[in-house]
Amino acid sequence: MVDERVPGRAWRSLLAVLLVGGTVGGLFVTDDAWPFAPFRMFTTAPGPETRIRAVRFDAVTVTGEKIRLKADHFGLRRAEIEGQLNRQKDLDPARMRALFDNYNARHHGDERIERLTLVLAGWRLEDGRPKQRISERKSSWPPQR
Amino acid sequence: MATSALTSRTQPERLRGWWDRYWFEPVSPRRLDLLVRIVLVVLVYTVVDHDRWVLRHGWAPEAFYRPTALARWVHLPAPTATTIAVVQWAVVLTGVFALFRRPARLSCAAVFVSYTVWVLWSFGWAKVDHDRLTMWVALLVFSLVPRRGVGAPRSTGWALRVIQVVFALSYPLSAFSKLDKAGWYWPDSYVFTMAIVRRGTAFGRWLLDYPELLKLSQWGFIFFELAAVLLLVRSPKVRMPVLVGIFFLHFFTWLAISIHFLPHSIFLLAFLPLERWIPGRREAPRDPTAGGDQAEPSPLAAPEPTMAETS
Repeated sequence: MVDERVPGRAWRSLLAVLLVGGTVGGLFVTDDAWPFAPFRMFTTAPGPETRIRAVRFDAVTVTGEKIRLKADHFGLRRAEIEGQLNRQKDLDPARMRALFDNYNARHHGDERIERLTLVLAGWRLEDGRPKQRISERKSSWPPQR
Repeated sequence: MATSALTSRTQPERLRGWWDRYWFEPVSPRRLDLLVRIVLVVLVYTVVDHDRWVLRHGWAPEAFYRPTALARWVHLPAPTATTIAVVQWAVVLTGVFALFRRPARLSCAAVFVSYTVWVLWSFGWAKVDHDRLTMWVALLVFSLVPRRGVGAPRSTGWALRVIQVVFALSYPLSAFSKLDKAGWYWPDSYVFTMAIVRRGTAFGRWLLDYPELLKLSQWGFIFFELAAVLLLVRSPKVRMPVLVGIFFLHFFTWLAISIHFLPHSIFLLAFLPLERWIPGRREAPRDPTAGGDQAEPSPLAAPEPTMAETS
C-alpha cells in the first residue's frame, strides 16, 4: 500500500512557484528587490583598450604625512563606494565629508587627517594586456580652494 | 487494473502526476539532515570568517547606508558595532543549535531570520552580491520540512527540488544578464582581464599575459552557465557532467580571483545522494514510511531512484 499523501501539497506547490518565479523575475527588477535581483556580476564587456580603474584615497595627516587609504578604512567595501559615485565618477561633497569625519572620529592626535582625496587608479589595457598605470584625482575634503 | 487506470488517465491527471513526481519525489529524510548540517557549518564559517567585513558596517558612515526594499519595509535601521555583533552571534548560536536538528523546523527558522538580517546589513550599502539567493531559499525551506511522519520523504524531496531549481537557474540567468547587457561580445571581451587586474591572485596575474586563453575560458564559462539549465532534469546521466563542469567553473574563478562563492557553490551537494556516501547510525526508525537507511523497502521511502545510478 503506497501512501500518496503529501501534507501541504497546495502551499508547498505555491511556495515553489513563488520562489522560482521570483528567481526568474529578478531579471526584470533591480538589486533593491533582494533576495530577488538580476545576476549582474561580471556582466560588463570591456574592449582591448579599456581603462580599468578602482577607487582608493590619498590623505594628508595633521603632521603632513601622506598616506594611502582604502575603502576598508571607512568600514566599507570598495564596490560600495564605487556604487555611490555620481555621473562624474566622483563622490558628492556630503559623502566626502562623511568619510573624512568618520576617519577622524576613530583616530586621535597625529593620526588624524586634514585632507582626503578620492583617486581612481588602475591600468590602461593595450591590445588586451595591462600596459600603463593610470590614476586620476577626484574631489577632496575639505574642498580645494 | 493499475495499468488500465494509468493509460486511461486524463490530461489534467497526467499533469498532476508529472508535477508530483517532479516536486514531491520521495527522498530519504537523512539526505536533508546531512545537507542541513553541512550547510550550517558553511554558514557559520561564512559569517565568522569569510564575511567578517560585514562587521565593519557597524562603524561605517551612515551617509552611505542604502537599505534595500525589504530592509526599508521592516524599518531596519543602519547597524551599530553592537547590533551587528549581536546578529553575528545570533547566526552562529542558532546555527550551532540547529545542528542538533531538534526542533528541526523551529531551529532552522531561527537561523533563517537572523541570517536575513545579517544579509540585509551586508547588502544595504549599494552593493548586492548575487551568491546568497540559494542559501536564503535553502534556509527558508529547511524551516518547513518535518524530519519524521508520513509526509517526510515527499516534503524532503520538495525541499531538495526547490533548492536544486533555484541553484540551477542562477547560472543560465547570469548568462542571460551578460548576453542581455553585452551581447555575444561578452565571451570575446576582456572581462576576465578586468576582474584579475582589479583583484587577481598570483595565478590570475600570470594569466594576464595570455589574453587568448582568458577569452577561451570566457567561452567555457558561459557555455557551462547555459548548460546548467540541464540540472533541472532528473536524470543523473545528464546532470553529472554539468555538475562537474560547474565545479570547475567555480574552481577556476577561485584560482584566478580568489572568490569561491562557497555559500552558493556548496549547494552542488544538493544534487548528490549524500546518505549513501556518509554512513549513519544504525537505528530502526519508528515510522517505516519516514525513510532512512533501515526503512522497510517501500517505493516511497526508498532513496531517490534516479540518483542511485550515480553511486
